[in-house]
Amino acid sequence: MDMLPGIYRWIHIMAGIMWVGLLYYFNFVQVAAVKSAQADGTAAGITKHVAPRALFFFRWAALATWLAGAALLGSNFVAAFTFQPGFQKIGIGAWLGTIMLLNVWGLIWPNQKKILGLVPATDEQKNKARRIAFLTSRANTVLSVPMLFFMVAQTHIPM
Amino acid sequence: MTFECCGVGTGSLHWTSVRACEEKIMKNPLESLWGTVITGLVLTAILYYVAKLTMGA
Repeated sequence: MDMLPGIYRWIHIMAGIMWVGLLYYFNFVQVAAVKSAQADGTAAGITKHVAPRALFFFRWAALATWLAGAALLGSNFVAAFTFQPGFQKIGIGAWLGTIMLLNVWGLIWPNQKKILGLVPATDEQKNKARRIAFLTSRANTVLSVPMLFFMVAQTHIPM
Repeated sequence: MTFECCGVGTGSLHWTSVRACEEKIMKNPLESLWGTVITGLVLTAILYYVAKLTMGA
């Protein structure tokens, strides 16, 4: 039983690296790569073979990160989410992570399904989905910066 | 009343025109990677001071 918090933390960090790592891959690498690949007609290699696999690990890693984080908070879960004294920093990190998770499952993934042709969509719907998925992914990249700061700050940055 | 919008054209001066003009001048920071990273850093600074104020209260 004494090992459980450590194991939750281990899973939280591993899954978090995969989630945020893939988020940064999408934003820092794939968006620009697809643009270049479209110019020489090779974008299908990314959109058909890379993106679906990356999205699979991305969305499930997001959920695993959140669940492991919630387990790690344990009985302090409510204290963190209500910013009780001593839990303000982790509370901000937890809220940012929660918003990011909701963005993944509520906006990015449903719109990516249209873009990748996993659900039927017209060209107009696909274009709209592309824009929403792009901006939500960028918003999550923005939120990841303070989220990681406050996760670290809880124990390592005095305020 | 008309206005010139940074050399991209003219229009009548009302809210929607001003907004359209602003959108031509000011881009969404999330369109670029640098804009995204800088927005994240600015948000971190804002939340840091908000948290600091709250914890000091």
